[in-house]
Amino acid sequence: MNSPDKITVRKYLLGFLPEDESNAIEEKLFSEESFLALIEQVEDEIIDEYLEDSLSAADKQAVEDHFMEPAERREKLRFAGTLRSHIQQKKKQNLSFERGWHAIKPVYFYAVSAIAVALFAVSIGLVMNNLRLQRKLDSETAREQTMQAALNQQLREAQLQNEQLQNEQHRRILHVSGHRPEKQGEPVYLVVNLKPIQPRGIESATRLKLDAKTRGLEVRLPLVDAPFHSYQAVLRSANGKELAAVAKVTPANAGELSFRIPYPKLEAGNYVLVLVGGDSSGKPLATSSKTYYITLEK
Amino acid sequence: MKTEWMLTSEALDRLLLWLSPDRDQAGARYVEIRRRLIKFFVCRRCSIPEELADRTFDRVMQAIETQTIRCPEQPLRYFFGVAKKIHLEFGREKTTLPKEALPLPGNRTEPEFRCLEKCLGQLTEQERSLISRYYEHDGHEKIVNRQSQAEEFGLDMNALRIRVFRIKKILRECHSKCMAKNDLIKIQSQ
Repeated sequence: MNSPDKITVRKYLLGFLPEDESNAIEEKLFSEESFLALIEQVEDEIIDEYLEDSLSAADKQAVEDHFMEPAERREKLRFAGTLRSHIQQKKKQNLSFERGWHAIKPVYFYAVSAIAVALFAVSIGLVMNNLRLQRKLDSETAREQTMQAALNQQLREAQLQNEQLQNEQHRRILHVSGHRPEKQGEPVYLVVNLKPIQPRGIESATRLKLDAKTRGLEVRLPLVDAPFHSYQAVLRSANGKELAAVAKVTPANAGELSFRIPYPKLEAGNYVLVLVGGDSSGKPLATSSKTYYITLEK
Repeated sequence: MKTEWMLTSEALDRLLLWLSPDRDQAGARYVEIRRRLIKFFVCRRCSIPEELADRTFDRVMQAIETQTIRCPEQPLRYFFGVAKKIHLEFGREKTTLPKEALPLPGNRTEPEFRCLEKCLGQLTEQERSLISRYYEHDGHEKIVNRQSQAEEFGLDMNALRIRVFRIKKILRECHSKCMAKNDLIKIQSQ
């Protein structure tokens, strides 16, 4: 027997070989380098098959009666059994863990997905809201700047109006204290600034200095009540004689009544100015009369 | 046959010199021959294979000392002849021991699993994976799994079995040492 194969070695180990063939195997054990390893390998395979219960009935009987007699092989069997049960136990643990994981995986997966989607939606919402607020802030800033510019413009206009008003007041002061500044070839009118609520009687008369060049009165009266459509003004002497009159005097936009009564024969003395409110056609209304007293002095 | 001969360091030196003039090589050959002798006695179902292997060595050393060796160029063949004689002598003195029950797979102790876990931990990742996959299935599933495993590693089935055998051998030696250490600790603590 030149090179006994595994089957022969297996038969030898199970005690199925006749004595002469067994001797040949044993001789190989002492003459071939790799033969010991082959015997040990076949021993392991027999043990594995025994543990797997895959041996034929005859082989199994031979293992139990013959093969397992030496303590060394029993130790091998014990170790192989320990290794196998350890590995299979680990496998079962891994499987049960995997099954457990697979069981909880869908729930876990959906929960995590739902949380992720919710977080994403919240993030998108926050970003959108932030953008909206930013746009609103930009628009408010622009509007504020526009309003600021408008206010500045109004302020400038108000300052301008104020300056104009101050100029006008200054001019009026000049008029009250004397005559309107005379322009070349223009008749001189004495400016009479009346107060809206005039006390009754000649004692409360508006006193003015009469100039030789005066050719009439320029009456100015702020209107505090609701103004009439038109007014009729009549200048009378102290004894009630009508000296001059103007009709259909309409109030200016600023709520001031301003009109001229030409009367070149003005002299020093007491005068009565009667103002009667009228309708849009100029027709006087009986209940709308007001009387103002004016004293002209030299 | 009872031997009166006693082992001496000179006898051992002579044996080693006979095995090889190089001391290290002689040591390695001594170990190798002893393994084969043990296997021979195991295969002949002897209950004390290590002791019979030592008896064989003693007999060979005696022969060297008395210069009765017939084929000095073939030490292994000589050992085989001596081993067969020792076996015959042992057969005559052999007493039949009561048959022990085989160890059941489910009947394992905690230290055995602990030692195995430790020894598995000393393997490389590839070795651990290979042996775990090799033994994790039974029946038809086992055959399919081993075939796919062999394909995966680019081996034929026999080469895969040899690899598993080698890994298992390393594990078994490690496990045996670990268990012996555990037993020693147990004895010391008693």
